[in-house]
Amino acid sequence: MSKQINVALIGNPNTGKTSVFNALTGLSQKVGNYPGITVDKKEGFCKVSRNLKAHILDLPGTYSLNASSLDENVVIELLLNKNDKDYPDVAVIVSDVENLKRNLLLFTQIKDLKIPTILVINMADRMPRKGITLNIDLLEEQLKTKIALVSTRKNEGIEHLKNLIGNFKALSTEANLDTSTIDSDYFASLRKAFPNQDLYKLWVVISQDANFGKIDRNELDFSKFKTKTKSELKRLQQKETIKRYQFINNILKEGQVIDESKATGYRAQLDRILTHKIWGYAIFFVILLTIFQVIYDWATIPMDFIDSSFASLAEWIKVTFPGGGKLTNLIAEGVVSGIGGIVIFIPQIAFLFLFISVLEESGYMSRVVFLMDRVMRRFGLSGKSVVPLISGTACAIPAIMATRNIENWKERLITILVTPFTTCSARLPVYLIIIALVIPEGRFLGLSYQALTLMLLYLIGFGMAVFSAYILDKILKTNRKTFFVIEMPSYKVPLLKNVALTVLEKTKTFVFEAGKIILAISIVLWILASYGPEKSFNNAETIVEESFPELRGEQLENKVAAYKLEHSFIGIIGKTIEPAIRPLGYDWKIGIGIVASFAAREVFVGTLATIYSVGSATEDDDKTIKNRMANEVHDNGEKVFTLASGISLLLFYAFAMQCMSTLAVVKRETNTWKWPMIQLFGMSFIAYIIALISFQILN
Amino acid sequence: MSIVFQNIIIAVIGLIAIAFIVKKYIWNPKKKDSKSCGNNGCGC
Repeated sequence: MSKQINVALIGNPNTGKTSVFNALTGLSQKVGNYPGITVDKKEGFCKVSRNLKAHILDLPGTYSLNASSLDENVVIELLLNKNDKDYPDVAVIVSDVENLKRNLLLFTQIKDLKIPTILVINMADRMPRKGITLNIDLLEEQLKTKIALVSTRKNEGIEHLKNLIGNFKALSTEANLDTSTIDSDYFASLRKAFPNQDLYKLWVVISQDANFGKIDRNELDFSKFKTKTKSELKRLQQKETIKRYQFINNILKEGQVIDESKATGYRAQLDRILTHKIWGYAIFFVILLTIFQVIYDWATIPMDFIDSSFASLAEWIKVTFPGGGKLTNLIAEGVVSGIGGIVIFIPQIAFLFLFISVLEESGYMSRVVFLMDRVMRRFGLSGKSVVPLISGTACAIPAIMATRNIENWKERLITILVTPFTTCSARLPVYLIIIALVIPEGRFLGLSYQALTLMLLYLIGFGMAVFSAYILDKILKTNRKTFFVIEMPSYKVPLLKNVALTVLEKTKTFVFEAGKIILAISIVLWILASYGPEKSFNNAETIVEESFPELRGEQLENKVAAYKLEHSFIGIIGKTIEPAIRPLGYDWKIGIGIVASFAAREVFVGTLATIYSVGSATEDDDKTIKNRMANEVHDNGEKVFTLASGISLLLFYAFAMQCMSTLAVVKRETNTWKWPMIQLFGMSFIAYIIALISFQILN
Repeated sequence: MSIVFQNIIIAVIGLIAIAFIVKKYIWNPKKKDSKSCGNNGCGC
């Protein structure tokens, strides 16, 4: 039977820990060229040798063992608690070859905890371009460790790293620094008071005064020991940091040579332009415009193809299995139409994530974060709120989890509350279909009106998040602001594999996570739309024929179908809620779409596809979702989807909190139902009022 | 296929769908924990 060991991947933010994790485990965790992607520990397995299996833990990035935020605590709690089932047998410290000096601070601290340690120097492929040469033997000797020079981009050095992990018993546990030199008197008294404890570990526990829950301090009896004040402890921490940097400087003086003349960097020049106070924003604006334009231009053909394919499939099922009766209808009108309502958006979702992934991978996203910080501080938002707000464009759930690196609770709470305003990928299907229906196809300066509208909706969402944060900041009165330090990563040519993995993973998650719930809701909706109270529903043909004796053929069939839908269970529910949504310009079918998408926004399109599919008996060839929605009319013959009702609907979805999963995550992160409920009712109220005003003005 | 039999099958499918929705959003709203690799915990 093979033995299993715990291996912890630790390092500064954005050193490529997750890339090393993926290379070791063969998994595909999210990676990005900006800090703060990993906020919780992730785990995987790696077969190191025939008899040894490694349980690999990917931990959030931390600059040192002096934790100040929740994600950093995850690392320290693990390293200080030997009873933790995940306590590492080996700590693999991942560093970036370009920032070795700073990265080694954390390395020396972990080394002093006497955990067997391996140093990974990642991004080794950049060494020639940056004119960097390393004397590995010397570094290994001085740092009392084993070093793996790794390039995850080129998949080099991973086997060597596995070998080092396999020989973990040969790793040195000798400390780098004599802890007592930080303050000899203080540490002598500490040793005297706790003779059986490891001195550095003791120091780390004492100096981490705040935020600890799990570290077992009960074994330490502080009554015998007079500890220092907080400010004195901070001073000692600073002294420790200086001592460590002196140690690191001495080693790197011999072990690392940087020949600036050989460096071929263009980073400084690019940064000057991309983070410029005017050009920086202008370039970002142009990039956004290009992305939205391209989403429209490239995705139209595959989108139309998918839409018509699903319409044909539904028709084919009906024609091929006519004897199936209601079961055939359930599959054709409920299942196929509902699923078609989500699959149609795969091209747009894939293109959106392709661009986001390229921006992240290239290092440009960090510059965007820097630019946005400048704007956000004016509205009372912490700079650290920028990463959650920007990652909220993919999904609010990981974005809300990313707020864990905000130390100040009120700032974190504000960020959690406003993040769902940013336009997540689930809003995209709703936006795309409504825009296609109500915004004309013309162009302005080569940019389509539809693409401009989409971009405007993203900006409105972001603007609303910032504005709400400003108001909340005044209400909650945050007096301490967290400083935001962002490290600008190097520019990199996006790695095709990482981009492809992100696009695949995001699209898969969108389709399968959303697909399952849409399938279930479509089935329930179809049943509610296909059955109704005995009297009016079952006698629909007779009632319609008596009321409209002039109707014949297809017209009669359509009227019967519409009558049945209106008198089905779903029709009754829809008609009940219609008075509340009528002032917003919606009919009862849209109302059903809104109610059904309460749990998840993306259900909206699938819901309408199912309802319109049931309520139409037309035999024409073009039964695509878009055409069905475009042809929908009120009783008075006016179109349902007009510019006024369309804009009202777009704004409703821009502001409404239609995501149960987000509410659940907010509850988990705030540990109370109070904030998710405030968020739900607050956002729904704002959405209703704005949608109402916009419809009344435009109508 | 008889109409009664069809209705029974549809009712069973409907109940399974409702059970799935209830389980997903009401009975157990918590997301999968971080141990699930390859997914950001995004329910969207």
